[in-house]
Amino acid sequence: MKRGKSGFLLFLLFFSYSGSIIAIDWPVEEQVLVGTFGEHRGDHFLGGIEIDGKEQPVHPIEEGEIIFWMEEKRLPFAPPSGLGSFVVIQHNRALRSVYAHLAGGSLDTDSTEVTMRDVIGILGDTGDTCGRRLELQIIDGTFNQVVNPLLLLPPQVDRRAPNIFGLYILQGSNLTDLEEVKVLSPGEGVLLADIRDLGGSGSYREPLAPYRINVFANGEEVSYLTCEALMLKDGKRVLIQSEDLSFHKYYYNQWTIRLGSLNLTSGDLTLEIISTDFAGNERVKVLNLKVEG
Amino acid sequence: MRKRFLFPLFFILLCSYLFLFPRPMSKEFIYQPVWSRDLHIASIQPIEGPVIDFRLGNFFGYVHEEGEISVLDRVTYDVVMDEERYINYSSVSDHHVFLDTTGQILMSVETRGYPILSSGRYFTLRGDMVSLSERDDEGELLWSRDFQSIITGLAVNKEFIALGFLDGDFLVLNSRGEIISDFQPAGSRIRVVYGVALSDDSRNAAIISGIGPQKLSILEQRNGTFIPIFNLELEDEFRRPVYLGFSDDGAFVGYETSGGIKYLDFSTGSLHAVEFPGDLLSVNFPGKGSLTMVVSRHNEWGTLQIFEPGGEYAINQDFLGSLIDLKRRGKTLYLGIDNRIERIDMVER
Repeated sequence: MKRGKSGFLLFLLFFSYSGSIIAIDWPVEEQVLVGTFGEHRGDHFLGGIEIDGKEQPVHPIEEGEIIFWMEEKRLPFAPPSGLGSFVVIQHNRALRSVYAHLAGGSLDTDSTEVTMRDVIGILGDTGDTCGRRLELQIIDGTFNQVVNPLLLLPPQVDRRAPNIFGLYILQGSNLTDLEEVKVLSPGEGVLLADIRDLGGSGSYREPLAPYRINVFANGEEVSYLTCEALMLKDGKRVLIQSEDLSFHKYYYNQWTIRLGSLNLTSGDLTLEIISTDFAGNERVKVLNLKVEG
Repeated sequence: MRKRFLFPLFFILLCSYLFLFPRPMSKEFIYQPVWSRDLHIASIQPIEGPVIDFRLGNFFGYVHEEGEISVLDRVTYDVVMDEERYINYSSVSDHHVFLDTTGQILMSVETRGYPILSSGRYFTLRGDMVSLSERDDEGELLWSRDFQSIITGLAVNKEFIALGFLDGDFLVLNSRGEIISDFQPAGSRIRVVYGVALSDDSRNAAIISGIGPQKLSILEQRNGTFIPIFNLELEDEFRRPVYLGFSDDGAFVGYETSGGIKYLDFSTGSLHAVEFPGDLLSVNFPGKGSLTMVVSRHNEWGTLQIFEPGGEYAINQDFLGSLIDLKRRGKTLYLGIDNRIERIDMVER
């Protein structure tokens, strides 16, 4: 099966970091993933991962230097902080990590050089967040990208594949449910999919976004989307390796993703949608359709 | 219980000090207490007219020149205020509800993020701090744009908005949201912007950036863009947002230091220091020939310093109070300490 351009960024990251041994670890002991990179956040992509859990110490993912901190509402001359109280650490290889929504008053504002054993704050709920959770972002200064932290963190146990709850074709303003209608009209259409990942075993709290989606039409790959990294393009943050889609071009609504345009011509059409989570669990959906008109 | 009686007592002592022991200056002033209001027992009179906004901890409101309290409310998560309107917003919000200075709803704007009211302009900084938008007085979107990096510093005047970023970049945007100036302060081991400022007349911008060393850069507007004209290596290395601001007349630029603030006189190149312990709370910095006022806090003590730039102190007074607000309207001061607000007139002798 054709898999397109997967792993391109992973290769770049490996190439970039190959000069030294990487010993990156999770910032908290109890890791319950409740938000994944690229997820829908109202009007923007989530630029990191969110870890739910009890009030617990937060450690650097790797040794480094604290280069910036902000305490929620403490500094009268600071911009309002949707990230709440947060800390930024500079690591080697132009890598920076951001730890957001830390508990108020818990930040270590005295240390500069920190190791993975140091506590930089307590997991909290400050700023624009729907509950107690740590948001971890990783910024790659070499490529000017915000990268999916799961690309660097040790893998989590996850045996559950993302679910494909619905597939639709949008033609003009007509939305067709492909579970119900098997005969389509010819012309341009946008393929939409409602995909939710119910997470790893025992760690399910909230549905997560899929990591990668491949779409094949009559055996040919027509779309490849992956949540690997975000970068700025024409004044908007876009998902790289996913046709540089901006938030409003990627998401149709909170759970429905635009998988790309299809040129529907008369005849049989076999659509194959493969949805994959970060652990590599795949869900495959095959639809046999007809285009008549 | 004891504190409750101590605060008014210190307030009275402060006012007595101001009244009885004015210091000589090039112009002599007497500091004359006019009225004092206890917010715990003040009655609310939502009447129209010029007001002064105040924020004391979890309470905010508007007070009239003659001491009537027009609005007194509890902060939901945070509040932004100017002299005509305010938004009292929650930490997760998809609407900004504008109220006027009598507490009446003006409009509700559907937007996600935290509001900023400054120089009569209204911005929304998105929750992830990498996107900014501006709306007009009717709440209509004027422009919106994402940025590469987290915004760490922001300064607004009527013409421009200056932004500093975690990646060390500094941008100036015009009122259409277009980037007119892009500058990366160089020469530091770590690149981060910790403070930005814009002069009211748009002639100058300033940046505090970097670690190893930390530097102050002054930029001047030439041919529609801002170019660096001056660099100063700083003794401190803050790793958090810092105060940086121009005087209202643009003659000075002031910046936070570990022991107070320093201000640079552009006309002479001289640097002056104002020392205080603890955190800087507010600076009122009109410029040459005018009195500068600085309020700071150290534990449960506040310090009010009034001085002429380059000249002597008129006042350097500590007082008990952890919640402090100072506003100035011409020769009138409105000083809030904990649960009280006081009007003090500066009367020229």
